[in-house]
Amino acid sequence: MDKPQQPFPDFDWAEAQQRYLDAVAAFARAGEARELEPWQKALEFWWQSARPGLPDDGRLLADNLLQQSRVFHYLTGQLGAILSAASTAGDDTAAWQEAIEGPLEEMKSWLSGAGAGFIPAVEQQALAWKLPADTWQRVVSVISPAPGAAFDAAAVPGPGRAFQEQLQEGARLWADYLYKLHCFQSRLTRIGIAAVDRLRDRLLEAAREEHAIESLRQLYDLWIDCNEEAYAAHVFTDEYARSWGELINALMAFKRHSQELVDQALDAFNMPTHQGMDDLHERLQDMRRRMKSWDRRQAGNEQTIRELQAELEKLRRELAAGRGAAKKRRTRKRKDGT
Amino acid sequence: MNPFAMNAGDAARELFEFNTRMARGLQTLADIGDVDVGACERESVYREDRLVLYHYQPRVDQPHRVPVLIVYALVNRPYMADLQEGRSLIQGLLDAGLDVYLVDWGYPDGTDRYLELDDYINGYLDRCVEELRSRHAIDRVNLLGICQGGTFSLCYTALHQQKIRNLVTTVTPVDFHTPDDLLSHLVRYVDVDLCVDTLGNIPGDLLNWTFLMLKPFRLTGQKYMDLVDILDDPEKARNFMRMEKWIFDSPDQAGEAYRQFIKQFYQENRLVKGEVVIGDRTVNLGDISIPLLNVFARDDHLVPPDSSRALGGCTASDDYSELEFPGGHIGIYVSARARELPVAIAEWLVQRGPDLPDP
Repeated sequence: MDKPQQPFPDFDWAEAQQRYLDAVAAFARAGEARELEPWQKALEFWWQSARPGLPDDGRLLADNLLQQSRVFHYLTGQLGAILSAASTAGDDTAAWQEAIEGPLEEMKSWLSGAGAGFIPAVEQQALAWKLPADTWQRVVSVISPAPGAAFDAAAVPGPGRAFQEQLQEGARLWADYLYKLHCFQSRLTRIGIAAVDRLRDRLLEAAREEHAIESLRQLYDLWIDCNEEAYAAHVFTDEYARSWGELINALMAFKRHSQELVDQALDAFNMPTHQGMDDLHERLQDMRRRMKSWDRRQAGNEQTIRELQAELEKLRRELAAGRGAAKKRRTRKRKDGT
Repeated sequence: MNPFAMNAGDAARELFEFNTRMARGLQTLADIGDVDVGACERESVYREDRLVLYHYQPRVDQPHRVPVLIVYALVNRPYMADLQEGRSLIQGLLDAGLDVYLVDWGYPDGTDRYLELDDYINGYLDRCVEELRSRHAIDRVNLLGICQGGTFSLCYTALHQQKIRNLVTTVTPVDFHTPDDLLSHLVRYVDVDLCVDTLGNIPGDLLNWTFLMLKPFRLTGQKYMDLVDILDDPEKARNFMRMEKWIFDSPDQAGEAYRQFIKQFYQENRLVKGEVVIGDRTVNLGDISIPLLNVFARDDHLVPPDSSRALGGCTASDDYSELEFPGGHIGIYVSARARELPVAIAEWLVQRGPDLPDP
């Protein structure tokens, strides 16, 4: 297979990256932090053109890889702000603790998506949460295609008032799902904020015990540890289990209601419905069980017949042998006249 | 003391190196193409609906007389047991002289919606055991269950012990309500009836999400950062992709079987109470008296060790052994130390071989 065409074939990508990052480092040395987001965006722009050239297995993996690289870039940006703030404090512990509070509080407010509304907050939450959030969105799309279609009254025929009530019930169930999703996302936000607090505590501990953080990767691993610990501390609570259960149950309730509306519409067009297919599958399984049971009985009967045939054959042979012996005795008797 | 032994320039350089490795790595992924799985030769010897029973080509001249039937879970695909050369439980068992069969449950679709645990355990699994008994002209076979497959094997043995010589369970949940069982905790408030009545078969994607959410940051994040460090090596990259392929290759779950398993096992924890009902029969682990080897992974976050260890107090076997292996739920099969597992299992089975009187 030909390698994918690069959008800029004569462009030295590595050299351009080096020059860009040298400029960033120069700014940082001057005590100013700069966002690396433009670089990440450039990388993703390049990836959109290179992506179609990859086989399926590699494409998904590379998507996940690039997703995580955003975390790395984000942390670098935050670290730049932290280092910039800490550089003015020197080695004085109290001073640099105070200096880094600002960037850490900024991380918390970014995590909570303050002022952005609860749906955009999903997008704004910690990048570490992006993949689980994306995976949930994929799950929802797999099991709940076009949820909004249920509300298109113009497309769905039905009697007036009863149908309106069904639509209202659907709207209520959808609102309930959104509320449960918001509650669940709020929990995840609280966990994210707790993770930032843990990060602060670990940085303080590192300072106290003179364990230096020597690389960005070390900071990233520490960030992951803090998130997993905060998550583990919360996920085993009854509240979390309830929130999780309520989220799934709310989505299922809406989906069930949507199915019933769709079935009504299909029924009106004299087409197979979901319930109809379900009933069919149930009868099919019942038939399969019966057939397998008949097959086993049939096999047993055939075995019994074979055994009976073998026994019958044996009896025939014995009978034939017995008649043969009797005939010999009669023949001997006639010859000697007795 | 300031804990940061680096400055922004160091961070920028590290990021540059990371990006460079990642860009090279993306090229590696493009060059690798699709990955294949499986190290051992096999043939299908029995088929029924979606199920395929595979017999693996023996790797010794005189394999052990009593064949071993591997029962995998319904969740995920069984090629984990034979992932690649050198990372294969099945290869290890074959090299140790065993005659190995494997049940592949297949990919359920809508027509399988109403399959129940009775169909799987007293139906499909029983007919696979019968197939082995017939092919080898023996009364009893060895059973090796993996994860949920181990739970199925326990239920099967409790109901049909006269057909089983020895039973091995690996990373098998028995007590589903241990304090550290996160899966059980998460499904506690899920209305399983509503889920199944709504979805029919349960999508594999939903199960994937549930498993990923047990350790979301490591499993959806850090893992890919680790990947960047190995992408220079195409072979290591291929190994990683094989695992990824398996992790996301999740069949849908037949609705009724899923309903029964989650309700009876995860929510009501009936197995340890002797209250699981399969078909019209109640499963009592106390009816198991044959030799039993229980293997579990020390760092298993999916099936906590205590969940597996609970088996010790449930059976009537006077030949019950436990084996703890370092590693996680999957690492026990594919990590560097995983080669010790099939050797240990084979030794245990051979010691309880056909020359001894029936248990």
